Amino acid sequence: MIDIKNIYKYFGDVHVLKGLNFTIDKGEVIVVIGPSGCGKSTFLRCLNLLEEPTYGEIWLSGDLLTPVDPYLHVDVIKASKTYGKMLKDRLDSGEVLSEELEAEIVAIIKRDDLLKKNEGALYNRLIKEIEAEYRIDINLARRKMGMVFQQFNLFPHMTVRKNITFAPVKLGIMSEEDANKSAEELLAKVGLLDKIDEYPDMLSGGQKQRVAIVRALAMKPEIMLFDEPTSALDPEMVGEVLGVMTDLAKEGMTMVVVTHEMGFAKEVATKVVFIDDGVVQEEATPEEFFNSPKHPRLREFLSKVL
Amino acid sequence: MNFEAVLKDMPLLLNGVLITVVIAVGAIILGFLIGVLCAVVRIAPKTNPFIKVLDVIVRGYVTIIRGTPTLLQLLIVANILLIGIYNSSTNVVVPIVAFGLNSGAYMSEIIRSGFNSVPSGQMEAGRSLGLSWGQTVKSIIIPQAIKTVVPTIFNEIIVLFKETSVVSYVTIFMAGQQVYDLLGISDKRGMVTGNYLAYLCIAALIYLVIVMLLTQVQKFIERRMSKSDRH
Repeated sequence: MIDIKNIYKYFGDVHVLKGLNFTIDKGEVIVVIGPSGCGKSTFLRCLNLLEEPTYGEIWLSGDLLTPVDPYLHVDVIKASKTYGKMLKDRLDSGEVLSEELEAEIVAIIKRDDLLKKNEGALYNRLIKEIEAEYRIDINLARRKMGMVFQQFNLFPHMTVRKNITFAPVKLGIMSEEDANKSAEELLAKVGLLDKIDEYPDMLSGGQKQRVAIVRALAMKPEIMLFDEPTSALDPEMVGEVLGVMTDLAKEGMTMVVVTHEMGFAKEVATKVVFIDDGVVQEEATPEEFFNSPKHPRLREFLSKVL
Repeated sequence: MNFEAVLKDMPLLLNGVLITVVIAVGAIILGFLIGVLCAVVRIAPKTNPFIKVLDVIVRGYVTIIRGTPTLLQLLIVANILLIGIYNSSTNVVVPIVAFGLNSGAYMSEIIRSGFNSVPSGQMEAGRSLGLSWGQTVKSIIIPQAIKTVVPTIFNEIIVLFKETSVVSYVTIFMAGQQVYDLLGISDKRGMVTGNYLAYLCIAALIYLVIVMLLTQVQKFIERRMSKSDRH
């Protein structure tokens, strides 16, 4: 459903993600854990392009969300001037054209990041062709990806009802009437129907987060992204939010959850992922992940948090 | 001081009030629109060259307006929009444009500070729902930004309202087209009747009353906007 191909994210000199690859299938509940500053939030925020990856591609159900990353397409690299020049130099120095030679040059270009801005017309055309065929508008893609934030980020100037119905109505996905009905149903499900005409400021943290989940669900997303959804909550409110998330998982929603809640990871996740140093270091079923962690960094991390 | 004589002259003074109000309202609306547009340009992601150019223009505009006296700007605009183009004796276009341009620069800085006071999570929440940058700015960011800057905006509005009182002195040289706002007409009638101080006092009183009304409007708007706050 989501393919994350070799994403890098640089903030100036700080390299947060360093060639991260991952695939998320429909119906999976992926829990992402890792030490703070490991890039797990950045990873999540790259999925819906709140952060744009410096390199790499993200694919959602066969649609490309990011610009084409030439390094991921051998035919594009081969169309570049740089490749042409390097190949010519090698042939001029007496080497024989072979698949090995071609592969070697491609590998060197990838390794040393040799592609420049201007790589010729053929190269540009190939990239344009790929984008024309696969790339979709990010705003359309985001409708399919609900996101829940650590700080809730409800719109304080709108009532709970308006928070939930605003985007679907504005984007023409639902009529106001349908959006209202859907908001009421979803709120009833999370036990907050009586708050529908309140402003967010009147709600507790746990209530705000449940409304935020409903707001994301109102768009009828195919996947839900949770960025440390319980980290800003008072301890007694964590349970109510995790409860809603657990119900959601049981209904078969595809979810990616960045969290420190190991209990949730153990009980609800279909797969737990350990990110450290900008790459996925380990991914396994919860049982395997917690009972027999392989990576030494993960063992060290688990010994600290469990 | 003969206040009774001034009261008999009230229709003339009220006409002056009308001109003052027209200039002030026109300039405030123009200034506000310019201010919002400029502030949006300033916060827009500088991804395409067009926005970059606009940003440079806006910065230049704000620097020039803030760096030169209002009176001087009014004189320049009056000279540009020149004299002779308009024939009405209540030519308010010049002061509206001049004060609007002036106020726009200040408003843009005020509104920009309002934009910056909205947490970045609001933009992210809007975008994550599939709203475009423009839709998020319009429906999520601007309403919240405006709310935080209402007191400062009203401060600017009040300053602007009072600043309009220089128009009659600036437009003297616009032969036969002097703009007689409240202070202008009071000044003139005071001179003519020899009842100068009484006219000035009445003018001051009228300015004061209008500013107090504005303050009430501000309070009303603040109350309306705070209905989403915890009560």
